[in-house]
Amino acid sequence: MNTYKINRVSFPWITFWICIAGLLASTLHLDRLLEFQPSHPFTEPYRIIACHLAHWSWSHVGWSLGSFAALGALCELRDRRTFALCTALSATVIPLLLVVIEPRVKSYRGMSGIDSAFFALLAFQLVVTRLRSQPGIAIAAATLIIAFGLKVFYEQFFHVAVFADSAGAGFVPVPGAHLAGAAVGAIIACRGCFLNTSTFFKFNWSKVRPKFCE
Amino acid sequence: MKSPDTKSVHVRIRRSFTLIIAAFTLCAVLPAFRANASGLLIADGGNGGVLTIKQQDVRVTINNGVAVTHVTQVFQNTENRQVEALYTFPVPKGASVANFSMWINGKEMVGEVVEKARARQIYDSYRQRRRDPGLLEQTDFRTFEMRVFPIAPLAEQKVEISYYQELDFDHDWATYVYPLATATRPELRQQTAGKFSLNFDVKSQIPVSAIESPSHPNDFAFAKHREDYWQASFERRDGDLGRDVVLAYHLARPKTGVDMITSRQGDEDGYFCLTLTAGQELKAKEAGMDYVFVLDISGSMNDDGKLKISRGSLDAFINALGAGDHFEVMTFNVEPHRLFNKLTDATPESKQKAVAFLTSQEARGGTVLHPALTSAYKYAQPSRPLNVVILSDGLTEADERAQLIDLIAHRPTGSRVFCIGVGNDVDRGLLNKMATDAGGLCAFLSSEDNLDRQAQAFRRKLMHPVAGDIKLDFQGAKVYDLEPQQIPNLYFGMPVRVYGRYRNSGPAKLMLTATIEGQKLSRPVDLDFPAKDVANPEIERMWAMKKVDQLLAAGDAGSSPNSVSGEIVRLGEAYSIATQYTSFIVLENDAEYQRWQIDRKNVLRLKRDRAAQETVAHELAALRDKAAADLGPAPEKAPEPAAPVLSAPMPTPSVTPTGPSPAPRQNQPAPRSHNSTDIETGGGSNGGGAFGPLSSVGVIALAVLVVISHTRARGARTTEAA
Repeated sequence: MNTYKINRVSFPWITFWICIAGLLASTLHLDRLLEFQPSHPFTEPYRIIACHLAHWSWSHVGWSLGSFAALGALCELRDRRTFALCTALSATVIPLLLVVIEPRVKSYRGMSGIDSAFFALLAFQLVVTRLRSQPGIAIAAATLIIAFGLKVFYEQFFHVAVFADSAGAGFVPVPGAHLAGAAVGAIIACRGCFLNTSTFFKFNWSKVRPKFCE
Repeated sequence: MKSPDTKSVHVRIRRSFTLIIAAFTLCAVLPAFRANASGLLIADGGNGGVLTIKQQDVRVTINNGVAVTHVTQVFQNTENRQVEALYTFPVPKGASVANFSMWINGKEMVGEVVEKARARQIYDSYRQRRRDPGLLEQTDFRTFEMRVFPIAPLAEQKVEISYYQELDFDHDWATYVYPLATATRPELRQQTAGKFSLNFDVKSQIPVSAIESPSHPNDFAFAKHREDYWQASFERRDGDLGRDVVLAYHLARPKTGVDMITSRQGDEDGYFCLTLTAGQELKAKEAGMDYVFVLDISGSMNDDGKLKISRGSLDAFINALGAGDHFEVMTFNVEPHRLFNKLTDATPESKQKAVAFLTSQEARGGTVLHPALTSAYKYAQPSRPLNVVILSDGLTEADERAQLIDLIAHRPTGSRVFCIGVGNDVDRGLLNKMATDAGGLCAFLSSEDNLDRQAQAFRRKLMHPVAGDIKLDFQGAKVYDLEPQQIPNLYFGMPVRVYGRYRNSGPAKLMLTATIEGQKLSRPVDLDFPAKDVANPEIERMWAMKKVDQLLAAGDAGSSPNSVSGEIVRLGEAYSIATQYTSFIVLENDAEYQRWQIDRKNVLRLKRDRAAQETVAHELAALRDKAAADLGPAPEKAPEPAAPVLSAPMPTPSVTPTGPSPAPRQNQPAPRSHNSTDIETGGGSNGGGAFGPLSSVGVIALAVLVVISHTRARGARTTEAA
């Protein structure tokens, strides 16, 4: 079992206010003021965090902020502290990592890196926490993680988004940001496992096999 | 209120003899104007007499490539008797007359645009009442003619014409031509007895780096007040006006970008002009190409030295060919004549041979272009793009037009047609359509152009379009009625201009999509559409002119003539544009307009335009004053308020030429407009997340898993507790 403390809430206020901030940023056309430019990462440090609120188009806002609302609400409702930790860490790490791993990007905008962090956080949490009690759920979550990995792989090598019109919105997908976000989410989700690594190995895998073989 | 058909009107008209009816008619294809703008008042009508040009002032305001020319001429009857005069005024290529005024008894009477048949009806009604009232004549489809009667003994007659045109751009050089070379009445020598002055105000959002006059290099004085505002002035007394005056200015936009100017007055929806310019980073790479040069040597090329210009231009083109290029030279009148019978390497020997071949050509016979074009297409090779460059006046037989359009439509893959209209008397519409339909370009050469520079510039553009498949998607501002609807390819050195209208003011986004070197590129551009902007009223008429052009093209393509003409008449009347379906008519006084129930739309528009122009003039004057105040070498001295460079009387160039050098006196950077945006075309890209439909499926699936997991866990806990 996980060892970290669960902090459940009744309404995802943080997610709500971040979504409002994102919508306002686009409505007031503040995107250019907020975007992050990897070539000058520390000229205006506020951009490191603020860039996630900026977007390239309303379509970009819709998908990016919509995913954030759904995943953020789930994460925040489950555990606000973990959610806050994941948000703060991924929001900081993603732009800074872009300086190293995606130097071709001139300016970065969007929530998708944080979305990826939440996705990984939830999926890995399911894998880690439900592996023994609900193995089917854990395996389904693991499948989603693999699918996510394939999507990032595709974007990395073809420089286009899967089923998303990034070209139409005027930007290229940044799989590095997704990877960075996912890594942050995975680390936070698994931090209990790192503290007690025996959880994973104590699982009786033979319980699962017959169900899938039938 | 006078009755329209009472005798008193008739008597009044006869007694005063000051009724002047002016009806201008532009017929046939709108763009095919004759390239002359001098304007002549000729003593005519059987009474004889001599009229001289006492004064000719030309004021040209060029605002972001749109030139508004105001020509004010004062003619004098030098005889001691009343004469009848014929006013003839050909309009330059691509231009549209936007106003005509005459001074009657010292008062300016402004013309109005009405439907062509109605204008004729009004005119005829006056003619019936008078023996020979002010008489309208239309000499051909390119030239305005109007009769003025009477001009009193030794009296002066003042007229003013305004016309709008979009300047041609070649390799970032915008060229303005005030054509004087072709007379509407060739038997008359155009000579001004008094002052001829030509003053330019050049404004541009893109910085102007140089300005010059290829035609009169020693006669112009230039003043740079700011990077985006220059002035040029030319003045002559008792001079020959038989040569085109050409002014060229160079724009320097280091990076590819979008610039926008707007106009919005009152409660009407606004207008904008968006200019897309290729920057230096997209400069064409040198690569070998195939060229077939097709030179028109028909009889019409004898006029105005067209063949000479063509030869000179073609020599320049051939000499500009690179080592990897292959070419063929072909001439045609009623049939094509080939020089090499194959594509040959562009070596010094072959170039020399081609030049000698061209020199030996003489203009004669009719013009049959399609066999030459068919023959040129035979040189197409699948592996290399073929550029067919046609130098012609386009004055081919009328029944050949459809054949040529069809031939263009069925051209070989990878071939493009570039048309170069030579001289002032050209069928601009046909050449434009051929080039546009074939994915090429059309350019027009005047005898005063710098042919070498034109050839170099055209070849650079020939190399390849910088950007194709251009699409503009406006988000916000409710943009509509874009002209052109199909955005043309962007060539290096030749900006693409798009006119349109907008409903909502405020910030908006433009998503620009294009293909550059095979790569699809999308860039968002932030724009601001103002609630009020009086600085650029000229783009309103330019938008309407483009709309009329598009409707005329639709008419050519087979749309219902009635539907097209109705809309053209509406636009012509609303924006005071003379078209082939509308005419200008000038009546004696306001009562006459009222009598014929002609709304004074042009008077209102003119009033508004002049007010806007006055505002702009004040701003420019302030700029000049500031620039002049900054003059002077010693900051420690109390600065003398020096006069603006051009405000002092101009010296007569023949005595003290001011010299051709632009010699910038100031170098103040212009404040960057918030509607000028550089576009990143390479070396980096905008990045963002791409959570789209697929990711959302994953998100939903994950959410479902979380809910199921949570429900099961709770169920398990409940069971456990029970």
